[in-house]
Amino acid sequence: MPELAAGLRSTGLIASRVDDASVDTAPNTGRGVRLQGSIQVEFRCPGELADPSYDPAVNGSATLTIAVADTRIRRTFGGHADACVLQGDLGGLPARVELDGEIAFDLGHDVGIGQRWSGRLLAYLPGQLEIAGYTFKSVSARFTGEQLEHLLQLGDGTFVVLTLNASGLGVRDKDGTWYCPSGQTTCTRG
Amino acid sequence: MHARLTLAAFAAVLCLTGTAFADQLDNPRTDYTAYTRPKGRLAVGPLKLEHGIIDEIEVGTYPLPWFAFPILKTPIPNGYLKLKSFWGGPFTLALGGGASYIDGRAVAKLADDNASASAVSTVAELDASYRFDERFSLSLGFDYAHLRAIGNTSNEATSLEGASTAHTYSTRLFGEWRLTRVFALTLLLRYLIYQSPFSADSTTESSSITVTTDLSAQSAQQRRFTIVPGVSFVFNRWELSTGVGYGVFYLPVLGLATTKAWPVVDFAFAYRFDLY
Repeated sequence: MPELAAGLRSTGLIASRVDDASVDTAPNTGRGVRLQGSIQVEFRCPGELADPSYDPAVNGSATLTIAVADTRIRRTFGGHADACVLQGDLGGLPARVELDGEIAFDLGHDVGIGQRWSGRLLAYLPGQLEIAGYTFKSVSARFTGEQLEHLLQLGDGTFVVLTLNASGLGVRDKDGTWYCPSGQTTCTRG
Repeated sequence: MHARLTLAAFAAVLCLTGTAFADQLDNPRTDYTAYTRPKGRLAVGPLKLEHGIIDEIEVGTYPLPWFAFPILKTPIPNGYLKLKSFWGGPFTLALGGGASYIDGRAVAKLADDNASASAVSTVAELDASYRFDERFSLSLGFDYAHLRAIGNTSNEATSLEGASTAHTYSTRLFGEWRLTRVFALTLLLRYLIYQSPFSADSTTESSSITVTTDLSAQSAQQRRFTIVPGVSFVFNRWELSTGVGYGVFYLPVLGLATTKAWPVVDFAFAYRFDLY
C-alpha cells in the first residue's frame, strides 16, 4: 500500500499542470468574454533525481487534453504517459516512479481560467505504474497531501476502500470501517 | 447674459429657413445613408475624407488612422468605396465596402502585447434611403465587418479593448428630419445581429511543459442595441453632425462592435468644395 500510494501521489505532479494551462490561458480572456475549446499540455517528465532533467528521450513525457467550457477548465481530463519517470516519496526517501499508458484525472470541481486548483484529486491509471520494484496495473485513488483513498475490488466482486494517512491504514466496506494505526499489528473496528 | 446670447445664436441658426432645402438635396449626409457626394465634390475633415468621382461613385478614407503612428508605432492605411443607384427619385440604394490594414505593431499596442500577426479588416454595407419629402428621409442599412489575422502566427488580432470578433453583422435605421436649411435632427438606431466567436489559439512553452490552446472566445453578455439621437448642420462649405447616445459601440474604421453597452458619441465634421 505505501508503494502504491507513493506512486499515485507522484502522478499529482502531472495533474497539477492544469495550473499551467489555467494561468497560460488567462491572457486570452477578457471581461465579458466566454472561452471554450481545449488545451493540450505536453509535460516533459523530470525523472527520479532531485535535479530534474526534462529530456523526454531520457525521462519520458505525458500529454493531457483538457476541456474548457464557459471559461472554466472542466474537472475531468485525461491523456497518455510514455515511460514518464517521476520522483516518488516512499517513507521519506526518494523512489523511482514510472508511468506508462492512459491516464485520467478528476479535480473534483471545475477551475476558472486564471485560477489555480486545490482540493482532492482522483487519479485513474488504466496503464501501468511501477515503483520500487512493484508494478501496478489499472489502479485508481483519490488523494490529498494528507490522505489517500484507494478503491479495491475483491475476488468476490465487492469493493473496499483503503485509506492511508499519517495515523495509519483504514479499510472501509459496506458494513463499516477498520482502523489499523501505524506501528501496530492489530486493527480495530470504528 | 452669455447663456442668453448662446440661446439667441442657436435660435438664429434654427430660423435660417429656406423653402427649397437646397443644401440638403445637394449635400446629403453620406454616413448611415445610401447617398454619395456629387461628382467632383471633396469633403475634408479630420475624421473623414470623401470624394465623389461621379454622382454614383464615392471614395474615401478615414484620415486619423493614417496619423496613428505616434501612438501605435505605425499608420493604419484604410479606404472605402461606395456605389449608389443611378436612377432618380426618392428611393436610393447603395453598396459600399472598405478595407484597413493593421500592422502587427499596432495590434500589439491595441490588443495583445504578444501578438506578432498583422490584421486586415474588411467592411461592407448595403444601404437603402427613402426621401419622403424635402424635410424627412429614412435610411435602412446592413453592415458586415470582418477582422482576419495574417502573418506568421495564428494569434488573431481579436481583442481590441476587449471588444471585437472575427465576423460582425448589424443593421441600422437612420432618420433625418431637417427643420431648417441648416439644421436637422437625427436619430440612429443600430441592432447587432451576430458576432462570431474568435479564435484564441496560443502556445506557451517552458522547460518542462508546452501548453497549446485551441480555444474560441465570444462575448458572455453581448449587448445588441444602440440609440444615438443627434443633430446636423449643413452650411455652404461646412458640415457638422454629432450625436450622443448609449449602447453597443462600433469601433471606427473597423466596424467591430463592443461587447458591452457604452455611452456613444457620433461626430463628423468636414469642409467641402468642388474639384471639378
